[in-house]
Amino acid sequence: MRLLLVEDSPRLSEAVSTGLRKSGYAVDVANDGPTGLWQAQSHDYDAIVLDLMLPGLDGLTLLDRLRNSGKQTHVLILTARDAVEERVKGLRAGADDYLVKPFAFDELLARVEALIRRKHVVKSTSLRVRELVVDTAARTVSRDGVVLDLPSRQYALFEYLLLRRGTVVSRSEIESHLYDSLAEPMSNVVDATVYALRKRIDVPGKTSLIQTRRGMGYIMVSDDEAR
Amino acid sequence: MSNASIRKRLIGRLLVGMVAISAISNVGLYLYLREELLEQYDEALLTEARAVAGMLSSEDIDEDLPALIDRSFPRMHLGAQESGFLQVWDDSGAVVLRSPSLAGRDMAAAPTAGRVDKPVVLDLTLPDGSAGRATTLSFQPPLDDETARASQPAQRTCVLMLGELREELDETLSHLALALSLSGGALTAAAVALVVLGVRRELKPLNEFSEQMARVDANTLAYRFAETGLSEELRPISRRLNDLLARLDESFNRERRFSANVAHELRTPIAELRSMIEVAIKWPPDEPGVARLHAGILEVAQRMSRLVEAMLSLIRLQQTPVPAATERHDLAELVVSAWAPHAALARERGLEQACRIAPGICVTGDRTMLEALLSNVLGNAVQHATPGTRITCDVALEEHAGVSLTISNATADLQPEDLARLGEPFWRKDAARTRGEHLGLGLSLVRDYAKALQIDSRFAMPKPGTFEVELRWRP
Repeated sequence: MRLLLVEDSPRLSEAVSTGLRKSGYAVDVANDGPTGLWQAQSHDYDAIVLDLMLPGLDGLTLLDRLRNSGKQTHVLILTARDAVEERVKGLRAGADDYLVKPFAFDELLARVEALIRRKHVVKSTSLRVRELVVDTAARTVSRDGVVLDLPSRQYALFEYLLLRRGTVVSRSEIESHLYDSLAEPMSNVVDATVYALRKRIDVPGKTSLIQTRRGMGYIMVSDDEAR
Repeated sequence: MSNASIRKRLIGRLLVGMVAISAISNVGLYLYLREELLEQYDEALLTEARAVAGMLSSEDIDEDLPALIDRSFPRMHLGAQESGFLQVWDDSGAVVLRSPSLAGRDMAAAPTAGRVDKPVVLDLTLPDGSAGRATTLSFQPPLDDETARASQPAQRTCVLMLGELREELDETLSHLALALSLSGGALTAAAVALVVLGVRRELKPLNEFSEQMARVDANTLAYRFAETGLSEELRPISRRLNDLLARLDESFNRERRFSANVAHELRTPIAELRSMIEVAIKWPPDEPGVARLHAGILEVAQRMSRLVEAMLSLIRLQQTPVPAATERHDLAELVVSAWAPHAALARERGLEQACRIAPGICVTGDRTMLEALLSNVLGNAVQHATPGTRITCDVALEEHAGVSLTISNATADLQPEDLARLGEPFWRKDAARTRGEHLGLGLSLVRDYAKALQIDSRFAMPKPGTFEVELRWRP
């Protein structure tokens, strides 16, 4: 999943973006309002973490302009202002969640995950496909109670395809959701990652969970519903 | 001053006044009308008395005279059992004539007699106890032959008393008194009702005003009382209340802004520390990462330390009175000393310092505080001046106005409307608070240091793109 972090404190943005990347997200960082707005409008992020006190353009105005441009990306506001009227203002401006600084990193992570589930209209943190059980909170995939040791990129790909199962997802979409703007993925990195993922999750003798649609992309096929 | 309500006091005083005025005027009117009535009554009595005296002056007094008088003056009611009465005494005091109405009720002695040109009217009590009012006249009866032969006509003088029982008069007067009392009472009652209703009605806007005021609290200070449609007396009150509310609103907003800003200033470095450390614990960094982490933690700690010191300085300046200092210091030396900590940053930003102050100009005050004051002014200039420009200092010496020091710098984004907020703690033109290391307390400290040192401070933009701080030491 790809996130946008708009935060002008260099120390805080570095710490948070590092933590989010280590958690398996692709993270783009903007340190001022205008850059943040441009990036939010230019890409389809899975969620945006937005500070309110930004140079150049404050967070609420950024959010307002984002919504007016038609972008429905889920936004989590990050700010040191905890007064009720500030929270109300933020939520009414179009934010989906509000987190007051200082915050526990795990809480930020959990709220981001909740926003992403909301985007894909999924309420449970535990999803099931065939014999596989995916715990989106713990970021694990297990079969018969045994956790499969998936590297973070493979897990991110699996989770993304799972949340969009039944839909063909193009390579470029996968790239834009799995890699941030700093990464320069090689042209076949998606195919390579799909190949590696199939090796880990497919059961010999059964059709692959991830199907290729030539010229279009990949699709996760299954009739199983989320538990 | 009494705590009784204005309405009750107003009504009470108006009522007392109106009752008093009503009573006095009614009594006065009664007395006046009574006098008029008596005057007319007496005039009528006198006219009749003169007429009778005239008749008696020409007619012999004999037993037919009363009947003659009765017939001639029927309105005198001189007949038996009637209310008028007449009696004549001769100059020896003997009763020579009485009206039938006086049968058995003769007045024994002749009362003091008036003259035709100077009549006497008096109240008297008849022998049977009846009250009467009569006039007395002296007259000269017609001369008989003997008197005429004696040629002493002047010796015979009779006294005529003509009067009427007071019963009817008194009844009239009491009716008058009653009528005046009743009308006075009715008028007073009507006035009372009008006063009570009128005062209540006219003071109603005051009650409504008071109810509106009761609805204003700390959360509704943006409320303003309407000034149109109010009476002349309430309009200035409304205006002053609106001014007060505006000041309170601004003050509360300033406090809210300050609380929010303090929260932000304190929470942000804590959030930085927490996130840096949590991520490092979860995903231990490599060696260069550890070094960066330590450096970052140290920077944040230093910033928090500066912030806490600055806030404590502000609090101390506001709460602790500063004893008046008498030592004098060279201003040029103070400026040089205050500039030193900012020189490196000024070089980095390409700023030129043009503070050439001649030695020998002295100012009074605590040295440490003066240096802190000047350091904050110069520090603010260094941090906010447009890079590559000049920071200037100008000193003016005026005989009766003391020493004035003006420090100016170029500014790219400050506007005249920002001047009012410049002294507010944590206010910055750039809303983001994490750019650079300025705390947003510099000019608040300048204001408070200047106040503590009894120096007048002023922030101004003499022309677009130039910001200056003027400090004036009082002579």
